[in-house]
Amino acid sequence: MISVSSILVNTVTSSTALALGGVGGLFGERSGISNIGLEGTMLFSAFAAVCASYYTASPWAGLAAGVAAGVLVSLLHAYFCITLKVNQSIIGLAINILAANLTVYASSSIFGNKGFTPSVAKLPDVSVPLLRDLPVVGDLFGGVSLITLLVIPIALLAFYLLYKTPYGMRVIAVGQNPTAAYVAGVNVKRTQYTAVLLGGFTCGLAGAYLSISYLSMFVRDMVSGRGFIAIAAILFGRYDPLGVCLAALFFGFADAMQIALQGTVRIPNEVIQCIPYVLTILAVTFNEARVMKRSAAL
Amino acid sequence: MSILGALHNRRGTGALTQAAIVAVSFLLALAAGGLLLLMQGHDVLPIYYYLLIQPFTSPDSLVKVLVKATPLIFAGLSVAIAFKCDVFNIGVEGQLYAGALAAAALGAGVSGLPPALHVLVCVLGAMLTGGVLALIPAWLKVRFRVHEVISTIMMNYVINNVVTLVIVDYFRHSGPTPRTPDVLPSARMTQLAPPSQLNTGFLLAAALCVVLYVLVQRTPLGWRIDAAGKNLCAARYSGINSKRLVLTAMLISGALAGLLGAERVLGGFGYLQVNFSPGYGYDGIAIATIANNNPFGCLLMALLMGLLSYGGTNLNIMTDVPSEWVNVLSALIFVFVVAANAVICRLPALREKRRSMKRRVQP
Repeated sequence: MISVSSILVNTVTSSTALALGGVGGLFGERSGISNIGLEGTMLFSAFAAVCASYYTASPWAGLAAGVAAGVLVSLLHAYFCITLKVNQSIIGLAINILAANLTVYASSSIFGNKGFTPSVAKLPDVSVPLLRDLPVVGDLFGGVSLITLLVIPIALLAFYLLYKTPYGMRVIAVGQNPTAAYVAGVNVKRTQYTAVLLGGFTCGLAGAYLSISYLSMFVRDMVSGRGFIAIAAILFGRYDPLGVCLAALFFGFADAMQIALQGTVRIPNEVIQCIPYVLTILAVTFNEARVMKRSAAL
Repeated sequence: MSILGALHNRRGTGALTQAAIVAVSFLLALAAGGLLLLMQGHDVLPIYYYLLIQPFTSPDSLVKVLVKATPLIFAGLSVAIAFKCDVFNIGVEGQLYAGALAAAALGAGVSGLPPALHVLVCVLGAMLTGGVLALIPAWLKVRFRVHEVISTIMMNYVINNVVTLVIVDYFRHSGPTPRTPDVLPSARMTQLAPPSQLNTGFLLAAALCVVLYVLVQRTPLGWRIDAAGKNLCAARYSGINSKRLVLTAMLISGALAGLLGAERVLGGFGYLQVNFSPGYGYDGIAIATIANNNPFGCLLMALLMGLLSYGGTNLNIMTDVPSEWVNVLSALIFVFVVAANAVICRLPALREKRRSMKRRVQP
């Protein structure tokens, strides 16, 4: 039986990491530095969060460590892309490879297990009064992760930062024409650095969400493509914070449908698991086709 | 001059410089990896012995290094040919599964062919499957400007799921592990040193290095691919159909990935197993980047990675160091080489900048 309320809950749970990664990541994309290392950044953060939570027994320390790891890894990406001018895809991929292997190695040498770490203290779930008593959507607010609740203010903040502040204007200008921005007196490199670091910050939140809120441990390869789908959400959401959130909800919904359909319909699980990935390709294609049509009309 | 000059202004370190960079990066990675081990209180020297010296002490283990290197050569070449055209084929990981499935199906399903012909049919089928699947992201790229990084990664997930589905539900060998039935003996590639898995696929991979070198360096097609990769605008102005080139380069790249799958199925295992690839496609990207997309460089790097990979299994057996440590090592080599290349490519620009600063200070 497919229950509407469980689909809703799963949609929100699955889209949290995508929305966070996307909303921060779009700043880098807007400034002209794309980061396919979001995947690895989230993985590093998830692991750092678990380690800190394990040693201090405080999930808040875990959250701080996750965010710090996200910022540090994106600093590495920024240094390679902006200062050393390395091909962005290559260094992003290098970060992903390094993250996949270093976390497994560290997990096995610190905790003695390659597959997963022991269970650690996780962030508290919040139960929102009043809202939790609503029909259908009530389950959504019964025990929701703190970080999930943060997504909406963060998206609004990103919207404000991007469109209503001089900093946001600088990011957009640098991405559209770095030379013109430079001539107009914008510090191009500093703008790009901070834009990439913003992505690292939200990826840190996303990683911590996965390991110490959604689960309470680190599992090998636990990000499993969410970083890449976050990039797809950025493209599909047309580099706009609210659009990216909607795109993340869309992909989260596809994932929730995948979970709901498993075992209930006579379609093999493998086919259902393909749905979000096929949708991603189609969504990006249609988006690009629309952009092309518009620029052809000009 | 203008077009030719424009073609040579990107990414240019010579083979010797590149070799020196790789050697230094390798040593640096060994030092960093050693530091990791020291921090955990391991004795470093025996670990390096098992990793780097022991494989050379017997012909048996040398053969195993070649076995590990064979798929990596295909992977490196596959990524390199796409890179030459400035296309980023992250989809090798998926294309190789598709090729492997085609080889397994043709190898087990078609009977009555003489051995050499049967192998040829399987290999061609695998190459075709890999190539056609690589054409999808290539077509999306040239038609709709969909970035190939996104489309190939998404396709990897899809292909892996579909191949797993086919193996588990439709084409399963009766047994505990999910795998296809054995391919017929007539479809097996000739084994060169049984009981190891070394087979003619290794020779094929080595020969392909020469073929690709000639293709890129000595044929008009290769020249066009190289030109389009180095400077798309200049290439277009000189009359090159860059869209068709992207499709061609991806077709070749996907075919090589399919060949990788065929070698594993027909030469290595004799059947197709779920999730058999430890990430050959991603290793291929590291190899091609480190080798500067040079086919012979890919061969050497694949041998080095094969050595590390064999050393990793060695470490797993002989010491209590997990084999992931070796993967960290190769990832570090990748990062160091990328960094060193970037610094070296920027040296002339930096020198020029310093000179102009000096001129400004003392007019």
